[in-house]
Amino acid sequence: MDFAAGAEAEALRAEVRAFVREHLTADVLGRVAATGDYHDREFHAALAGRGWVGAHWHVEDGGRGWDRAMTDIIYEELASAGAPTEGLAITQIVGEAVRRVGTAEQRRRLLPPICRGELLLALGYTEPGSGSDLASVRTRAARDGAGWVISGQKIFTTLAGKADHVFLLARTDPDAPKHAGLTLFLVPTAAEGFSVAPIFTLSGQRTNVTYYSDVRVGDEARVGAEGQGWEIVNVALAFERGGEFAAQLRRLVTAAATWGRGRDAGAGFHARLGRAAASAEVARLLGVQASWSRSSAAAGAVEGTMAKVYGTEALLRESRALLDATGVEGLLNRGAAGAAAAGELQHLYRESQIATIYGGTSEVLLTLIAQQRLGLPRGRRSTGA
Amino acid sequence: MKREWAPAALALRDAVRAVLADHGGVEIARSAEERPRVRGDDLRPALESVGVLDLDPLGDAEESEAAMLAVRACGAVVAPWPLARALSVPVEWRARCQAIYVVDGPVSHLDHADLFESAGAVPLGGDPLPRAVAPTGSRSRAPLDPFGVPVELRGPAGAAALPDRALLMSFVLDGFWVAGALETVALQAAGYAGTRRQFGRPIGRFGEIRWRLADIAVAMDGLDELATYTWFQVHRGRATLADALALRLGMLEAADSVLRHAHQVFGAIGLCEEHDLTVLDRHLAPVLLRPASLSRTRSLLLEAVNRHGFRGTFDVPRR
Ligand SMILES: Cc1cc2nc3c(=O)[nH]c(=O)nc-3n(C[C@H](O)[C@H](O)[C@H](O)COP(=O)(O)OP(=O)(O)OC[C@H]3O[C@@H](n4cnc5c(N)ncnc54)[C@H](O)[C@@H]3O)c2cc1C
Repeated sequence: MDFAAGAEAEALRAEVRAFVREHLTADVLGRVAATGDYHDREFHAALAGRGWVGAHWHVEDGGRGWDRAMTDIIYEELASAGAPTEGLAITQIVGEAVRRVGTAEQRRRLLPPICRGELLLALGYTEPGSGSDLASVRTRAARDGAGWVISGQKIFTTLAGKADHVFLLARTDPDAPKHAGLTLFLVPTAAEGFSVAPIFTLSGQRTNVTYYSDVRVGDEARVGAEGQGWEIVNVALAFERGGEFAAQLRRLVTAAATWGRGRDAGAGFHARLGRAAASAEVARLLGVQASWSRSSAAAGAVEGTMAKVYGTEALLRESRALLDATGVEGLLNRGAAGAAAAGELQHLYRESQIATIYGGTSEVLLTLIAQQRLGLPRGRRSTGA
Repeated sequence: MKREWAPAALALRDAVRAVLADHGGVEIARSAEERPRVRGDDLRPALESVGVLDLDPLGDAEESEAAMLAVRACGAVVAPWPLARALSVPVEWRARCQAIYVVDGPVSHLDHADLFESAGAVPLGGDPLPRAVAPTGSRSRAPLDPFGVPVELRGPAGAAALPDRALLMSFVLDGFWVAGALETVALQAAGYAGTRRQFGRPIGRFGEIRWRLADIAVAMDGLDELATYTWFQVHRGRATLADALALRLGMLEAADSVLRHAHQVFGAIGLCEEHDLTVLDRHLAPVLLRPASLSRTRSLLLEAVNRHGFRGTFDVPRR
């Protein structure tokens, strides 16, 4: 047993921190705030320039063959600094699926450009009628000669306004049982018949509705076998859940502690801050466990799920408690004169509201933990996942 | 015991509801963020047209009930005109003072302070002589404080102290406003759980969602009862600051629970700016922190109980 990260990991951590100081400029943050897209082309390009996008992928795929844990460090440091990482995270999730089930041609065509920061991908799973019950999606992909015609609508397709492709879950066999008739495609956003409309959320983040009206794609757009969509999505979702919320908690505690330092904030504030720090530590450790088990054969799904549930529930709880403790000055915008903790707490509070919903709601994930971690039988009314 | 509101109070509530619905309901709040003039140009005259601006919460019981229900109806759509602040002004002052804000500690922003030519601020536990509220800039436009206006508190506004009962009533009015907003959230969440289908059934069929809805209902009813009882005590002159703060604490805890559960029931759709839940959540934030946050309210309540004692199921003598 040895929790020490090793000199190499510590050096990387320091390097990422220095990178953040240099590249996470007021301009970058201003662009993120103005567009609501938690992705910045310039910042992302700089990351890729360091070889930090897909760094744990094989060298022939454009990566550096690093340990998965090293990429987690990069992500954690970026996220706790409040850097725009959504594009990085989503693109890596999709890249992960391509790595596992893509053809040699797809790997060659997609992975190296991802690592160079030239390719941005969005996730097109959710539909207006299909959220938690993802296997019920209705967007249709029908064979058309050698290719496919896609029609339907997705919602919450985050970054679709900037992405090059949407990783789209579509129904290819309406007659097969619901989990069996699904297939994944990488639909180019430049394709005719594709359109996008923004949705702004409580945190100011932009996500989108995306429309597919008879979008034609070749068969090379299909990722994985026909009918294998559900299986692949589940692997990809496992990679979506992890310790990133620990980073958000760290950001929260840092902001609140900075605010509390220069003043007599009172015992109530200190108690709340202490509790938040303890939550951040547990979230970090569960994240470490998830990250460690992800590199093992079982793909670490349940550990990631536990880290996600704990981290997100803690984030909600602690951000509300700390916002309350700073009082009305905590409500002021980032950059406003007199804003407590420079407006970070109210922003994290608003941002944290989505955490227990996206990437699997707490209700659904708790059910999975009961089954996978505790071996309970599936409930009569359970998710059927 | 009589548990019905006076018919005249209910009739006025219905009139307020109707006039707010005519003006767009929650949409008024949403649009006022972009066009703040909506508040004074459209909403105020609408409220005036049904006669709520003249109500005296310290008047006879029927009038006071009407005031509570009118404020509750405004809360139900987070109406962006501070009726509770206007009705906190003792009637005999209204010719020269348009709003009373109860404040605690240093004050940098107050809701809608730009709407009034003369408003007064009364510090909790301090000198009950109102001080003049002077706006010093334009709205901060913070998502969680959409109508917060930077202000300075100047010298005394008038020579009289705010009567104790009026100060306590200000808390009761907030209680009713928040109860109205939470009821909207509760009704919408329950309605949504009946229509949103996942896994082939309405989500309201899942135990996890039923529990959340039940928690919402308990929190709602608890706040309603507490607000009504506190009103009853304040109106009869039997309440102390401890009762008012106990209501505020109950209100803050209820809001916490209702908003948390409702967000979870609605999932992603409830986080969209187009959705009422997001608007209700953001527009409730200021009243949940002003004049005192949850943690601050707790310590103020403790001080007040020590000072006044607390009459309830288990009487606490003062120390
Ligand atoms: C900001 C944001 C960004 C997003 N980005 C993306 C994206 O890029 N791509 C994408 O595809 N999606 C995205 N999503 C969508 C997200 O993945 C979904 O919100 C999520 O899958 C939950 O679906 P839903 O919101 O429709 O909730 P629903 O599934 O409608 O759930 C509503 C409520 O019912 C409960 N419930 C549902 N089923 C059960 C059950 N079986 N048992 C008990 N309770 C149940 C839920 O827990 C929840 O409380 C995003 C969402 C947000 C808010």
